[in-house]
Amino acid sequence: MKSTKIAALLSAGILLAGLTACSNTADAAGGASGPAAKSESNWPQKGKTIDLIVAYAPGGSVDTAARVVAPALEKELGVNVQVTNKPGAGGQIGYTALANSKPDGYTIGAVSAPSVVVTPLDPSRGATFTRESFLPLARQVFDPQVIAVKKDSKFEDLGALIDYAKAHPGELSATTTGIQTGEHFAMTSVEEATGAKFNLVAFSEGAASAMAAFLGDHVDIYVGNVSDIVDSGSNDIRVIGVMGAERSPSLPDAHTFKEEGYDVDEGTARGYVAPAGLPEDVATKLEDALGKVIQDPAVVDQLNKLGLPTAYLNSADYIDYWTKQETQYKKLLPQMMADAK
Amino acid sequence: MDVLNDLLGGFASALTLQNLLFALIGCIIGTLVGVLPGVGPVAGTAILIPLTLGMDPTSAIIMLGAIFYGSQYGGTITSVLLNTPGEAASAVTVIDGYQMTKKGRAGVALGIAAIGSFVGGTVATAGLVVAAKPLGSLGLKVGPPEFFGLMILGISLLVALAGKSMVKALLSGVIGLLIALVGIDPTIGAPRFTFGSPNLLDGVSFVAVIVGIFGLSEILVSATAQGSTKSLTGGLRGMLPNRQDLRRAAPAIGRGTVIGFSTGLVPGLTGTVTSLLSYGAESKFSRFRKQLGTGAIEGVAGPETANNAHANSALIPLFTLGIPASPTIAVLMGAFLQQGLTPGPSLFTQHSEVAWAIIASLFIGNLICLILNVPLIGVWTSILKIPHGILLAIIMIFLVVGSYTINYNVFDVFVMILFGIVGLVFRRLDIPLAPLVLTLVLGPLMERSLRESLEISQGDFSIFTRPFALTFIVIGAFVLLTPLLKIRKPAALNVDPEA
Amino acid sequence: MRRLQADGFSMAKGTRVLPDSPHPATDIVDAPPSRPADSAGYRRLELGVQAFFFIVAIVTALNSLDLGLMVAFGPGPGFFPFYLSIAMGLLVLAWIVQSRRAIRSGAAGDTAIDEAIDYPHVVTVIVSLIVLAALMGVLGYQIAMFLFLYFHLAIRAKRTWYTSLIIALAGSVGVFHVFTDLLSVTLPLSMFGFLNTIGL
Repeated sequence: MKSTKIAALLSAGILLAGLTACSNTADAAGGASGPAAKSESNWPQKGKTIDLIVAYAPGGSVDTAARVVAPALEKELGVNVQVTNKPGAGGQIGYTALANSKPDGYTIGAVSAPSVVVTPLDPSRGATFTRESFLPLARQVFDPQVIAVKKDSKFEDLGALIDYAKAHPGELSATTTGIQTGEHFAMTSVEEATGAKFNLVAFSEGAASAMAAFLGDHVDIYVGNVSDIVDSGSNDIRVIGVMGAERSPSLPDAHTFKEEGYDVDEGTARGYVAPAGLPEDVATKLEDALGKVIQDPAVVDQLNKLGLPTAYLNSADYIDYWTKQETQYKKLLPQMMADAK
Repeated sequence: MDVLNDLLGGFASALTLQNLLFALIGCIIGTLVGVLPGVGPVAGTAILIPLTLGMDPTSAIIMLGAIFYGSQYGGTITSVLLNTPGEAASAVTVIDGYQMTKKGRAGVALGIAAIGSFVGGTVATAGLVVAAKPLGSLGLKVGPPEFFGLMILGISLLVALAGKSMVKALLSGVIGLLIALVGIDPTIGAPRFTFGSPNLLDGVSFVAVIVGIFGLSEILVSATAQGSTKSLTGGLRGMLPNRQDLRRAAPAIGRGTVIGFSTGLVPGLTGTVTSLLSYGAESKFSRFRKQLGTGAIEGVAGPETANNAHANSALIPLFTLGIPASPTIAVLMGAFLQQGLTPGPSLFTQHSEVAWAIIASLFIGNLICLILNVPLIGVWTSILKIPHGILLAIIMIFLVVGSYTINYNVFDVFVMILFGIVGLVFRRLDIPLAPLVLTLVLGPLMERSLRESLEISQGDFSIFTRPFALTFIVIGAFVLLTPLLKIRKPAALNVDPEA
Repeated sequence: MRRLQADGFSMAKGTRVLPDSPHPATDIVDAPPSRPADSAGYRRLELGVQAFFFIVAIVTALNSLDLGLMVAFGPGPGFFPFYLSIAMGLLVLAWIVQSRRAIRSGAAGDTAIDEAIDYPHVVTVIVSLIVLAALMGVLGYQIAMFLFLYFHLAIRAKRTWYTSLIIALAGSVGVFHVFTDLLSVTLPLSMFGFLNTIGL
């Protein structure tokens, strides 16, 4: 408590110093001009602002998480961190802007998978970025997908549900939040791993309308993130399968797919990236700062309240994870698009 | 009786001086945010959440609630005074609101909007207290097929919005529907009419369209470089609604409350849809429907009431089911979560005291916004005293910043300019704008719910014979066909009932 | 039948209650009283718009066919656009028929709005807005908006230079800081580094 206060004071002092020094540095930078002034070693320069691009509108969970991280990162680095929303096209607008920004450490971005992974894989989206356009710095959240039924459903556990769906292919309907969303990939993975077949209903409006249709008995199975279930606080839901490696701390009674004998590991991953081509020392500094901030108990606690479990990965592990996800999605994508038509 | 006790307890804990102060501050900030171009209730509330993090949960939610009401009302102010909707939900308010301003009745328009909002909000909150549980599950009965029926009914109201020419009204509606189809389609995710631009993948931004089609086209039509052909200073005559205004507005407020309250129960129907439906209902059922579009008080009272009733009743699905029924409610849900409160059914079992304090604070927030806004009407309408050339410049700031901040993208500024030209052409050719606005909002919802329904039924159209869905569709077809049956006597439609 | 009754009702009451409504026109748009307007210009615009919409209808209909009318479970991405563009085409045809009839009966142009549109004003406003939008990303919001406002205030509205300066500054630099500092909503900064560092 005390230490955070001191840190806040310190950073305020540094900020002030930065502001007064601003006019000087401005002249200096103006004189040196050129797009990439040779300032790598003294990054982050006092008085400059780090833009944290969020590819979603204010209020979404990517945005709220970023707005929790930004002030903590500000303290850690001693410069302003400004959240800039660039929403649109399921994140594509913001990701494109991020990929095209200068790799000088003053622009970073919050990304959410699967969207950031899938967008470049679908040629019809016309995305101009790929996985290589970004330098993943840190993963913050892994929010597993779950399968849930209503409390009064006849399916007590995952096995019963899968067996039924195998015997009656396409009879049980399940929600997704649209084409190529996390839920869509999750269910395609489930179908592939179990041989069951579901009737997927795409609620492109989002998780809330999927949940409404599920609770209103218009659809049999709810598919969504752990956080959707926790946030809703509903008593009518029975989660019968979590697609994570371990049980979710928020839903301790819900079995994982692995426990039930199916190899499915799907979820939404959120993290922070910089445009590729960042100088190595800047990348290291950013990675360290983000690592500290993400694992800061206060930040973890605030995210837990939002139903977002922290699952930190450093840069190298995050790159591995991302690549693995990309391979998996490349495999599933053709089947998914064929099903839709 | 239990409920009453709980509610009184809620009032007891909400009615502290500190909380009242927060409600007042929230209301002021909210109104300012609403008046500022672009930043509407959703973004405004989301951005201001960090302000409230250090407070205790009751105060924080009270303040955010007040910010939310305030920003909604702020959006109305610019709609009425500047013909530029500050947010999507007050889009239809410009039609009659601005005409009232032109007639010198700006104060009356703002007054009735404040009163209507208060009535709608208070009644809806009372509904939340009395019958949250059964109403919440009633809303769930509206599945995709029923939703589709409702959209058919809503779109059919466009014929009621027709002016002299049914053909032009229908054309306007069809154009709105076609514009609504731009973007990634909900069926297989194929980009439609995007011309390869990623900016269009999400479709044409509704706010940019309405800001251009109403706000900019007004500047183009009625103003010249030196001065307006119509003086707006008349806007200062008649500050408050008189008894006659109230008597005329009362039925519209009643209808608005019912429409707003019931649509708030249905997840997925936003405040914008609600206010449009209310306007459509007014143009179909109001005794003075022939005057709509020329500054009829019903055209302001109905949608503004519906909008606020919706905002409050949309809390019912949130509290009973944990479903955020509209984007704004989703933001409020985020605020609850950040305070460590899960706003679903468990809220009443785990944090009953906070829950009731929040409900009490909804009543208080509504009242404070009314008390605050009525005296301020004079301040707002004095904007119209600003010399014409300067006012024009200010409105243009609103147009540009308002459309830029939708997506923080200059692209939407260009969309706004384009639709300013469209608005000009439409006005010149006497093509009504309201049908376009209506279908632009309802079109995507209709297509989406149709798709969802057919995915559930696996392509079987008989899913639309479910009782509610069928009822809506039949009423919609009836509404759509009645004027067409009269097509042989167009003279009757043109007769001025008061000539 | 019932509808007619309702109409009669509103006729009876309507007159009494809104005495100050000068022209309770039946139209939803700004439709002031008819006055013989520039009917040649109106006709030309009408024809142009009709032609434009008709072409749009044909193009979208063809495009929709490419998108696919039907998929596994019902309507595909092209379904709605296809039938809507056909409806649009038919409506435009109906409109053309109506306006031809109107010309024959000599009523053409009657419906045009009464305000004489000041075309130089319209063009100036639109062009200046386009320039503003184009420059916003390059010069940043503050400089672009300042120039835009100063142009409209000092040159077009003929305000004194200091009034123009003050309002232009408030609308550019002032608005920028209200949005970034108080609301943390970012408006565009200049693309040029040297302007950027001094906060523009």
